[in-house]
Amino acid sequence: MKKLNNIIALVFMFGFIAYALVNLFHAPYEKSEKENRYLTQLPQISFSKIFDGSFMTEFEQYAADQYRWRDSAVSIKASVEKLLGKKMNNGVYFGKDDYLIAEPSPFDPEKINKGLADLLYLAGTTKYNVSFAVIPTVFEIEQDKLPMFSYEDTEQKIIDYAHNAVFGKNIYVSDVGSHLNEHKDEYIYYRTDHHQTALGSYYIYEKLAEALGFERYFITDFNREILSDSFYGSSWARASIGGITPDILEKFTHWSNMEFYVRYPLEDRERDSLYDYSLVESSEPYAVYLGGNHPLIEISSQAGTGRKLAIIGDSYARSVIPFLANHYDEIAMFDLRDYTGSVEGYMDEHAITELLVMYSTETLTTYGN
Amino acid sequence: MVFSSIVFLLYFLSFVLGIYHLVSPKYKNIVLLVASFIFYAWGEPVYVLLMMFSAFFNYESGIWLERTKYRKLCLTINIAVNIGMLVYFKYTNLILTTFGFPAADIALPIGISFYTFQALSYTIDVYRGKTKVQKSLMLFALYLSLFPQLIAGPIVRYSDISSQLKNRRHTSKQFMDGACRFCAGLCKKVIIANSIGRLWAEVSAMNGSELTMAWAWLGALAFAIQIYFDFSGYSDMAIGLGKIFGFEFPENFRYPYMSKSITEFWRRWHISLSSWFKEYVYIPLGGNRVKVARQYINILVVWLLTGLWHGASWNFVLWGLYYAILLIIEKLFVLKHIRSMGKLAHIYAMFFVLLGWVIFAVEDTGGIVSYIGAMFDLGNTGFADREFLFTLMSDAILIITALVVATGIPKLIYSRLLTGKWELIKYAAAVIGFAVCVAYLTDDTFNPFLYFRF
Repeated sequence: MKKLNNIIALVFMFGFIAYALVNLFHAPYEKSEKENRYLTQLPQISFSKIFDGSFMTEFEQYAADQYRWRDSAVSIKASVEKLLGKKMNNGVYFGKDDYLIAEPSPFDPEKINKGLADLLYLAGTTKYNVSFAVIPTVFEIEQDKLPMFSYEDTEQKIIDYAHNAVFGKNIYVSDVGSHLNEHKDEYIYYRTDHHQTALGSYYIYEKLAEALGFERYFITDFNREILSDSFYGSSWARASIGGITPDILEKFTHWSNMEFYVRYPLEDRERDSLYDYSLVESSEPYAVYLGGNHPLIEISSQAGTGRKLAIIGDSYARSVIPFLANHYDEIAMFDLRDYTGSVEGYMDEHAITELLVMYSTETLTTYGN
Repeated sequence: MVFSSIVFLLYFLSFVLGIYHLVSPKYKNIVLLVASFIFYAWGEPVYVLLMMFSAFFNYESGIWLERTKYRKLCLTINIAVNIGMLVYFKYTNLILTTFGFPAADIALPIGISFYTFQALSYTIDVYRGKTKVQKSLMLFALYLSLFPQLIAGPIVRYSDISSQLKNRRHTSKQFMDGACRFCAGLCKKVIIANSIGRLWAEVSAMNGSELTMAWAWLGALAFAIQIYFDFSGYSDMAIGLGKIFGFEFPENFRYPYMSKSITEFWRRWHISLSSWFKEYVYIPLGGNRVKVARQYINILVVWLLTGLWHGASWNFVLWGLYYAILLIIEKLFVLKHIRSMGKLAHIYAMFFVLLGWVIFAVEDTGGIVSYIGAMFDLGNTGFADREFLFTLMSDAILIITALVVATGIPKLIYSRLLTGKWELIKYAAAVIGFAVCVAYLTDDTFNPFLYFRF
């Protein structure tokens, strides 16, 4: 027994030291694919950095970032935590069937009022036909997938409040939430992201047709194509949990194969497609729709309907545009978090009379920040 | 440096361990001393000089005490300097702000309360003739700065390890026991204390109306678990590291939450601190061998100081006072009846311990009153509150695991069962536990060091 103990102690110690040597001499990793960030490199050493302790702090970050098998460690942690009953990380619930569901931002009437101010102003000018839609996040629609005791009707409150606030103000409210709810058993929200899927966007488009007044296409009129079958969204990144099946990123194209032209006038860039395929492999694959958030995006098509539409919206609204673009010659989409010009001025200059304001509950409550 | 960090676990410890066990015995102490200075300087690059000064000063005091005729004067100077340093660095701001002055720019050197008390245990024992003078500055400095117990205890008295400093044996059994003990402590701190600590952080940030009765009790329970697992985990790590380097440190916790009275609780909680106060304050004041009234005053003095030792804030004094009163009441009326109370005694003791933690954890007096108010606010129970139920459900496994471990029964079972070759299971568990803790620390944003105020 004593001999065995000696051997074990030696194995223990030398194993431990060997691991430390490996850590010390292996070439530093540059980037963590899993966490999608650059890892800390060996800090510069100097006397002043030692005396004020900043070298130590930097080295601690380096050590935590650079040891061997770090990526497996991150998954081990998540698995052990799950085993210990943890139901949430970083504001993301671990739902059933691999759903990772971000908690909604709190109901705050003041912020919603701020978010609605531009809409109410533009409707007040009575120059335009104004439609309004609020898109719920996955939390509201897929509430059946949430763990016990985690659902709250926050988003319902936000939507009701917003609908009431615009009532009687010459605004056509399109209740896309209820329509999505009817299809909640289909794959209309990502499991690893808070956005709706391309199919979800189709249903939003279907509902908007009533408000905007065009004849919508049927789902069978579109060719469906998979852009990525290994999409991990923002909820997944926040939850940092392993063993989750990735999502599928899809593209719907109308059979007419219409051509589109996309301009980003404030950035002086343009593209002949509604999709930025280079982003499929990036850290933010969802930005494949129109290349992510931009203050102003102009889309022209060969629809030949003679209609023009201005949209004020967010990332949720952006992925509905590939459907809407089939019905308008020109679409201008504003992201008011970044666009500093006057929407009214733009619309008048370009003789646009139709306006759609479409926000997620998330954007509506964080608008003022 | 703290034990629960990647730098310590994957770099510092491996290199110190390797060098320590490779060099010949006569260099082992030097390796340990240099390692201890680096360990301390990592977190306190400037205050390491203060610690070196303390080592030098107390070493010289010992030499002086042996030679001089004015032994009392010598000891008085020694105590005055030690306590003076502690008061200056730790309590200046409390004194200033209490009298309405603006706070001064003094940062508290980590572990100063621990090493000052260790130093005092040496000089007082030398004065009393209970221990021999340490002739080697190197060995004394090693005693004071020994990194396993430097920043969070246990407060190892000089007499406990004086012989080990010079001569100690290293066996592979002791090494493996130490490694397992270290890993167990690490798991207690990283997996349980940090996770439950999040819950307490959440509850303590709640304002008046959010803090229902249900939350208040869950929060108090969470803090009780956090501080016990954090603190006893640190002590386990210290004791385990000690064994790895051939030292046997005294135990610091003996399942305090199994106590059936407050008196018993304090015999089981942070033993090295309460026995230090007993030995160097309570007994010199006359202890139990004085008139009853004087005894109570002694208890009061000891507990006000104990409270104050935990941090420079009046709530700690209040916490000490709370325990002084409880202990006096127990002495007067309760202890006689404890035996006949059975299980109730346990509930009684834990009830007051939980209330005590609220005073300890909530800093401002107004906050303490409203928190305790919430614990008994029958008008705002909130047991059916969604968020409460969700949290309770999420943390249930963790809380139950913690409570079961805190009974000491799992430890008892495995130390009976895993003997002989079955100890291999224990070793495998230690390796797995270590790996899981490293994984936890990798992206952990919540890894508080609770003793930076001690």
